Amino acid sequence: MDTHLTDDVVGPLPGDYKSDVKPIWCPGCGDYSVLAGITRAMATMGLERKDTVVVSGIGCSSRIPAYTSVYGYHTVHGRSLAVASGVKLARPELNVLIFGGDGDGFSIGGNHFLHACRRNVDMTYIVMDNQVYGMTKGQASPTTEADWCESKLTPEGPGVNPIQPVALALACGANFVARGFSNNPNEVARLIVEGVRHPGFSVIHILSPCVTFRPEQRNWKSTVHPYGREPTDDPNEAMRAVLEDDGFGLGIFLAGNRRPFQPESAATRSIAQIEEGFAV
Amino acid sequence: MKMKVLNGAANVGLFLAHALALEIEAAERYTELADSMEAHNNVEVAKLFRDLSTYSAKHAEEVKQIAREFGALPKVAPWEFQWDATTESPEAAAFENAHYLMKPHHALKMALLSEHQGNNYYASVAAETKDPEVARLAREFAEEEAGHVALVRKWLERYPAPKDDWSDDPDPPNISD
Repeated sequence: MDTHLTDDVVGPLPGDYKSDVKPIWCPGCGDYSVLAGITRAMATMGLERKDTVVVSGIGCSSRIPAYTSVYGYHTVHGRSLAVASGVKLARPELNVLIFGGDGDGFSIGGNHFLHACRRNVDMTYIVMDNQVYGMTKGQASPTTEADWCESKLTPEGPGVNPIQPVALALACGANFVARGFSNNPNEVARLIVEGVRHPGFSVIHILSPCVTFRPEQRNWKSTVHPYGREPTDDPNEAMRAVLEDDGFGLGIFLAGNRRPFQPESAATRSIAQIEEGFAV
Repeated sequence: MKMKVLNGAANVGLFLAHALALEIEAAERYTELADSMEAHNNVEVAKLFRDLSTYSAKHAEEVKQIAREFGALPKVAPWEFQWDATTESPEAAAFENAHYLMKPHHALKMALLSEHQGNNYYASVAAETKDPEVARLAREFAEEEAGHVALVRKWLERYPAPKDDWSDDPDPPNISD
């Protein structure tokens, strides 16, 4: 893989981290701006493509690995965090970023999310939350409001309260927790850079409108607001503040100081020896 | 985590860093919008965005050439640019204003806003800076953007506003009945 990304004038550019695959998201989708934020963050950090892996599950936002020029692994539904943990534990020198949506992360992959926060492997999880399953044409997701009635599957609304991703991440032990909004890709880039540089498991919750199945989310631009507090390293303080938040506060809630999980023992068997065990 | 913000009017290096980001992001955004329209078979709008991208890429290359002659530019993180009126660079058309059924009129209105914002940015730097070289470059770039504004206005004359039902889709993605 070519690792020469240095521009003669300004160094690596965001475009260096885009692949030749053209996104097929709906025009107006927030994920376009998140992709812009991701590539700007990568260029700012000057990440080596050969040392960077993006891992995803299934869904619109999980298409990110195809659209970036670093190593990518488009895994199975809800399992991106398990695969990414394996990558990071086996190759701790790599930069590991995980991308997915609210359904992939908090429903199908909900159990993995809890334990990824608890385990605190040094990697960064970016969740693009549009409060709907967009790829399957608009069903309620774990973050959909209880009274959202626009899906034929739940004509009277899902009837249960939505998960609060930021509060859940804090409760389960994530070491860095932030929220951004897709309309501001430069701020998204900043949060990603801060998350990648912070040791341990970082969760970045990005509000990313689905303009096709949740067109009312175009109004989020007038709903979001700065979180308004300096980040704390105390999870209890962060949780108390988040419980007063309306779900639209943007910023860094927690930059904690838990030690990342990274086994120190070296491998005891080679890949060839492991493969021998599977020989038929 | 106090964030610093860097002002493009301060000196030539910072001005060129701002100008380069502005022009590259404008060209890339038009390309991305063109790709997105092609993916949704909106060929006419795709071509318009592609043409706009060509103009912006040409200007980006001109700015890059000036920057090369200047030397290495200061490294500015995306969130450190001081754009004042916009969260992104002022000439990057807003993704969120795109629609898969949009008409050339809408695309050109988007472009007109972007080119206006680019023109305003350079004009405001020219008015604010105390550095004569920055003022000269900013005036020159503002004139180029004014040319783009005039061009888009001319194109808009060919594409009047469509009827209100322009976004009606007989086969919508969201089946609600």
